[in-house]
This record gives sequence, structure tokens and C-alpha cells, in this order.
Amino acid sequence: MSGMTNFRIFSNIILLAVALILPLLPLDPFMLNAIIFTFLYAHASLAWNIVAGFAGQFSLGHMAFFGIGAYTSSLLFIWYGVTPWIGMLAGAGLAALISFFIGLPSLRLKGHYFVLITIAFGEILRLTFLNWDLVGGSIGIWYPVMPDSLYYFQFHDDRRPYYYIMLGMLLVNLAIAYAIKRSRIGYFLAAIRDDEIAAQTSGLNIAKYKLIAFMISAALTAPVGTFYAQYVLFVYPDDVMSIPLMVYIMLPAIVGGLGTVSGPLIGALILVPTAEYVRAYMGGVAGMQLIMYGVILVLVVLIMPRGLVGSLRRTKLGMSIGKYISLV
Amino acid sequence: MVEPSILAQALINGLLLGGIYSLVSVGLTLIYGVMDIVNFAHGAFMMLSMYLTFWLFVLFGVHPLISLPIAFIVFFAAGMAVQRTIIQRALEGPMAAQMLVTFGLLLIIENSALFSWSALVRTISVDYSNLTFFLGSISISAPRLIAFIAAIIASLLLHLFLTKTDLGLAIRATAQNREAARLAGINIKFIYSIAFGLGLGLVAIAGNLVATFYYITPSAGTPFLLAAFVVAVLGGLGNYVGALFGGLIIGIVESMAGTFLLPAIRQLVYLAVFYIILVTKPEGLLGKTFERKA
Repeated sequence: MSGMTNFRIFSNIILLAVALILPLLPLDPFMLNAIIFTFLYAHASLAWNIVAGFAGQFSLGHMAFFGIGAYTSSLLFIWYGVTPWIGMLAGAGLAALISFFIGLPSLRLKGHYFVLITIAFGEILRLTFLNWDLVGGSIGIWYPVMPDSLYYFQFHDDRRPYYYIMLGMLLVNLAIAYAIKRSRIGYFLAAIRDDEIAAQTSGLNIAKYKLIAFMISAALTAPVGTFYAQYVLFVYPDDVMSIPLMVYIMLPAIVGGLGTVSGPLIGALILVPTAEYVRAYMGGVAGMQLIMYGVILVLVVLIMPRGLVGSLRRTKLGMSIGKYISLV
Repeated sequence: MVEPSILAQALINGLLLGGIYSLVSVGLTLIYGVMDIVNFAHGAFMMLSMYLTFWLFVLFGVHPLISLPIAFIVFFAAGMAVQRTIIQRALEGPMAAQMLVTFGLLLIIENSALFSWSALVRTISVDYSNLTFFLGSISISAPRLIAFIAAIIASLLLHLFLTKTDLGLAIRATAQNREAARLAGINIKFIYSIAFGLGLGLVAIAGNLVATFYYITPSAGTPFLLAAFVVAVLGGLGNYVGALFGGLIIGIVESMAGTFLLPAIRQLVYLAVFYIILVTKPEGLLGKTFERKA
């Protein structure tokens, strides 16, 4: 058994080394951008997966936490000159606080109430921000361009720092997700997801653990919003808190495997570059990308609900791959 | 001091809007009550019905009131087909499929509409489009009044159907207890497809009715869907009588908020209502008539 584990550690080190060396290769800006967005959506999807996949509570309002992260850091910088790094933490804290108040009444009830209030919250927040001039309203926030520095979280001459920051965030998120999955809370969440009534009758405070999962998930989603704001330097409700964004957040986890740690990353590695190429070559066609994503969503949940990792893990091929790469 | 005529005007506007909300919500909550599925594509189907009404009017000169029964029949049939081919599979699948399949449909439908017809805003102008009645100083627009009356009639017809016919009884029995209904010889799959067809038929009527005074765009169904979520929870998820009254209440609340607070925060009021209901009375204002026991 330990031999296999060594293989896995070895393969993870190789993967990490590749990720670290990649931007040192002569990549064109399009490629670098595609990889950064792959990591970005992998991170957001992994964060969503903690409440949707680990706990089985389908939040359809995570775009709001993304938006809260983007707006909090941007406004703190523009109004008070606070560095986006502090803004990132503030955004995460605010997202956790709001998720507490949304989850508290709704997670006691059947899953449908939670789905309804999260999607309603997300859409209403978007509509409110669109009409709220204090936060930029329908004009959005054009972020002031600052000199390249870590303090300002802006890099114009050489975009590679963005890559390393996003990679670092993703690695932290992977470590947190893995730790949760292997912890007591992770097992409680799996028990709740698989049979809520059985979990409850065995004395588990199910509302509490669902709420913890939701808050962690929200707090991990907001920093991606901050990164997005620093990277794109434009914050607009229809970009950072819209239903299409929700789709980009959830689809990597669904395709890769709900409730797995590696699934969202694998899903993002397949979906995001494909979507970027579709956008580049068929960019002018309105709605094309989302039709494609909608079809993928319906087909995957109907035909392969465990996703790639979840389905592969149960096959002979998956077991032999699992010796080398951890399919957690 | 609030001007009484402004108050009355806001009340009337809200009531007329609420009738449409009722009709949209009744379909949503009927589908939920019978098969435990939240139809996220409900607003998207409403939008499709608006376009059906628009194209029938523009291409063939069919008056919107004549295309009303056409919309109902087309969407009833489409609903049965969608239930048979997609929703039934999701019902037999895991939780993720049940929660997310209609969300996928919403994406496909809305973006196919955007793809086919662009984001261009379209309107239908009929003979009574600009007609307005006056009750003292209160103005009532004719298309909105017609829509309200038709919506209430449709909701009442549904009530008669569900309470007075054998098929209606079988639908209510299935909603109350799936297993007992099956044991009593009811074909559950057939009931599911009828319920989904009815839900879409009702929202198609709503789409047809608002097409005469509302902007027709691929995302036109979204505000109605949001309102319907709040109404369905207010009335008790699965309780169609509750949805009928809930729709009128939410219409009035929205109109009051738009008139006396800020138009921009109309929808924020939904969230407040939603939240208060969840905290104080999650079973809805009227309690449940569809109590699931299995």
C-alpha cells in the first residue's frame, strides 16, 4: 500500500513541477489567459463542490459570493485605498457572514428551500447592484490602473504573477478541500448527503454541519471574485454575479465528479480551454457557449451523474490509474 | 402623508400584476407538489410562449386572444413530451439530476432564444394596447385588466379541474401520497406528464397574456420566475391555492415598494418576504394542502 502512496506523491510532485515551470515556457498571451481562467474556475468550482458535492446541498447562488468578493475588495481600494489582499479577506468574511444568514433558516428545511433562496438571493443581488449607483450601478466599476506591484495586486508588463497567485490560491483550496474530506466533518457531510434521515436519527446535528459547509464554501468563493476584479479590472453585476457565471462555477465539478477533490480541477481542465477556443473562433455567436454548457449539464446529470472521476474510480482502469494519480 | 389616490393606484397596479404572478406560480407549485421538482425553466417556457404569440401575430396576423388557446395546447403537449423524455429520467436518477436538470433546460431554452431571435426588444401592438379606463382618478390599462381577468379565470378552471374531475382527483392523490396512489391503481408516470403539461400550459397562458403589454426578450421570463419562487414559498411549496393568493399579495407588495420606496429595490422586497416566511412560517401562510407522506 505504501508503495502506491509513494507513486501518488511522486506523480503529484511532477504535476506541481509542471504547473510551476509552465509560465517560464514561451506561451502566447491567449494560452496564459486560458490557463489562468482554468485555475480560476477550478478554484470556484471546488469551493462550490464543498456545499453541493460534499454536503449535497445545491446552492445556485454562488455567483453572489463571487460578486461580493469582487465588489468588496474593489470598493475598499477605491474608497479607502485598502490593499486588495485585505479586501480579499474582508470579502471572504462578508461572504461567510451572508451565507450564515441565508443558510440558517433554509438549511433546516428540505433541500428545495435552500436552492430557491440561494438562486433568488443571487439574482436579486445582481438586480439591486445594477440599480444601485453608489456601487457603480449599470456602469460598473472601472478599476484604476496602478503601477505593477504585489501591494496593488496589478501586473501589466508581465502577466505571469497573476498565474502564480491563482495557482497558489488553487493549491490552498485543494489542501482545504482534501482536509475537509478526510476530517470528521467530511464524513458527517457525506452521511448527510447520502441519507439525511439516517444521519439525523443517529444524533447528528445536520443543520449545523450543512451550515458549516455552506459558510466555508462561500468564504472560499469570494477570493476568486477578488482575483477576477484585479485581473480584469472591471466589475459589473452581469459579469460577477450572473446566472451564466453560476454555470461556469458549477459545471467543472459536475463534469469532473460531484463530491470529489480532483473532479473540479479535471472538469475545468477539459471545459475551460474548450470554451475559450469556442469563444475565440465562434465568439460572435450569442448564446452558443451557454447552449453547449446547458446540453452538457443535462446530459451529465442524466447519464453520468458521478462525473468523470466518480465513474472512473469504480472501473478497473480507474483503479489502476488510481495507483499513480490520486482520484479522491 | 400618502395621497389616497396614489395608494389606490398602486394597489390596483399591484393586483393586476399579481394575477399574472398567481398564474405563473400555480403552474410552478403544481409541478413541485406532484413530482418534487423545482422547474427552473418555468420562466423560460413563459418567454417561449411570448415569442409564439409574437410570431403568430406578426407572421400570420393571429390576434393574441385567439393564440391563447393555441399556446395552451402547444405547451401542454410540449410539457408532456419534455416530462416523458427528460424529467422522468431525472426523477429516476440521483438528487443532482432532480435538482439541476431543469436548470440545464433553462440555459438551453434562454440561450437558444438569444441565438435565434437576438436580444432585440419586441412588442405587440393590438387594437386595445393603449386603451385605458378611469375609475375616478385611477387609471386601468385595458391589456393588463384583460390579462388579470383571464389569469384568474384560468386559475379557477384549474381549481375546478383538480377538485371536480377524476383526473384532477388522481393528480391530487399522487401529490399527497405517491405510493398509496400507485396502490390505488393510478398510473403515476401518466399523472406526472399531465401535471408537467398543465404547469407549462398555465405558464404559456401567462406568457401569451403579458405579450400585449410587456417587452419580449429572451430573458423576459426571469422576473416572473423570481416572483413565482417567492409566491410559491409564501403560499406553501406545492399548495396551489396558496400560490393563487400569494401571487396577488406579492404583486401588491412589489407595486407598493416600487411606488413608496424606490423602484430599484422592488426585488429586494421579495428577498425580505422570502426570508421572513422561511424564518417564521416555512410551511407557507396557509399551511399545506399537499402533505407528502411518502
